Amino acid sequence: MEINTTNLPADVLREILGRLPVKSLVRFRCVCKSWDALIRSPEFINLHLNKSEEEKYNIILIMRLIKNANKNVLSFHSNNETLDTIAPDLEVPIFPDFGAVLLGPSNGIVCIVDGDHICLCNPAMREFRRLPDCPFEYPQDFYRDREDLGFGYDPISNDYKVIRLVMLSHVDDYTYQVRAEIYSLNTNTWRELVNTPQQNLYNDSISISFRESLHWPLVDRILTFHLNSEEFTTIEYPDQGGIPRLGVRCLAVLEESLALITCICDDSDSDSNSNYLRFVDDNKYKSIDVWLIKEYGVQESWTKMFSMRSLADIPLSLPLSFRKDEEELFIQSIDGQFISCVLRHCQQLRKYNVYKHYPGGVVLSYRESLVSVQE
Amino acid sequence: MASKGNLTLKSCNGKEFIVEEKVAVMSTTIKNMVDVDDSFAQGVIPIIGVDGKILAKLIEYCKEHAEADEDEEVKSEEYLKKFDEKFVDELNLNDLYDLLKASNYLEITKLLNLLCQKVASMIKGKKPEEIRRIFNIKNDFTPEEEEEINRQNPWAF
Repeated sequence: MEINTTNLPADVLREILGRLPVKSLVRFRCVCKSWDALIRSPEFINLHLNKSEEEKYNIILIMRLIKNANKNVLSFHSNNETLDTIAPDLEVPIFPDFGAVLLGPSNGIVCIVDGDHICLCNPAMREFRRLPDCPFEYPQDFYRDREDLGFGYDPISNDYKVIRLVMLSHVDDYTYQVRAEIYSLNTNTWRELVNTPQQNLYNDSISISFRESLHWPLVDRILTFHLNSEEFTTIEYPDQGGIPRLGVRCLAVLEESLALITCICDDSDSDSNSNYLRFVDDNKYKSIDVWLIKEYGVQESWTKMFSMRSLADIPLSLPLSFRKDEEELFIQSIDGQFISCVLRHCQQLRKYNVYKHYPGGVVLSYRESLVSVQE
Repeated sequence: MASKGNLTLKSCNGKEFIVEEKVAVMSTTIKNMVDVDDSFAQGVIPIIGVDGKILAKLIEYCKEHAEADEDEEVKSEEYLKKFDEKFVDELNLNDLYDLLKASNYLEITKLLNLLCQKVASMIKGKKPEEIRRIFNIKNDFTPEEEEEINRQNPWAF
């Protein structure tokens, strides 16, 4: 077959190529010089991004630790009922430290954080970029107690930003101070934010990007950070005594609203006065509740939508994330199985045979892009 | 001459088609002509560079979609999806190419999207040398340059 494309209009060619997956486009760079220039141009990268926005998030991205090899890998799965593997695993080039977290995605870019090591990654392009070390020093007699991280895209400055909230605790008394540091991909530098609210951090909570702001589920309330104005605000949790002070909570976007997922432990009453945050691995949840805030920012508008309970053979553990555009919540079970729950049918858990032992990984709905993180 | 509510379209090889206005104005180009100059609505609209065979295909597509836009009951989304699939599957490569150019010139956005998607799914698994053959493109890289690009992303091949 042959098409004489010598006079195929340039915008038609762009429309065709804009619909191709990243892998095909990377391969087609060597077709000829004009295709190479087109595929790498910022205009085309944007066109491709907008095209893929019309499509669903078609990839489920899972990050997990391979213990005996001592490395983190990203794996690619189709967004279907069997989560078929669709591309070779991608090894994360940072040394596994405290247990990595995966933030994002924004325009096909994710941020991977493990201890002090942070990198940006475009999984579809199989590209990584290590961020420079954060240069700030901490005052004497304080130690880094807890950290919460955020990653998002600011369309106004066309910049990707990583925010690190650090809670410094005094070695002797119970006083603490919270600092915020921000990294900009455009300048490739860190700077410290002023006027950081002194909120009790949760530790390793994962930010959710919604309405051009990042949201963290802290101990007492939700902290938000606008990615352009760089201002912090807060949103109160539901006021029904329904949110235990301890136990895991995380945020998600569901039905175009901010959603709060709370986990109630078997033994949450016993140490409810303690200020001690237990490790997730020790917890075994009696139930997981999902709340939606119908009117953004208004505490009274929190509504409990779903409540799911453990089944006898599968104790619930860590809620991971929602499958995009579906009311299906991925959960890690206490014995390391990767399971999910379709919210409308709360008592039906789905088991996935993706990994026999799914050790504390992270799962995201992902949509690929040509946006490069490299210099 | 076309009766009221109808337009006459004339292909570059002289074939005339009388179509309902709602079908013809699926093309933004024709819609703009009719809106700006009333005489087009009365007389014959020349469709430059599009022959009778291709114009007939364009009209076939627009007719189905104009009717569906008017009455969802008769032509459901599912019906249209099936129609679209069959429509592109029956095209040979030359017709596909001619339709691409014609729907681009006439700004029939829905059809243009459909055709681009068809070409994209045809080529997405191909090798670079197959792409060059299909699109009749000359490789203007030196072997060293080509190897350098391939070396950067071996996983894509």
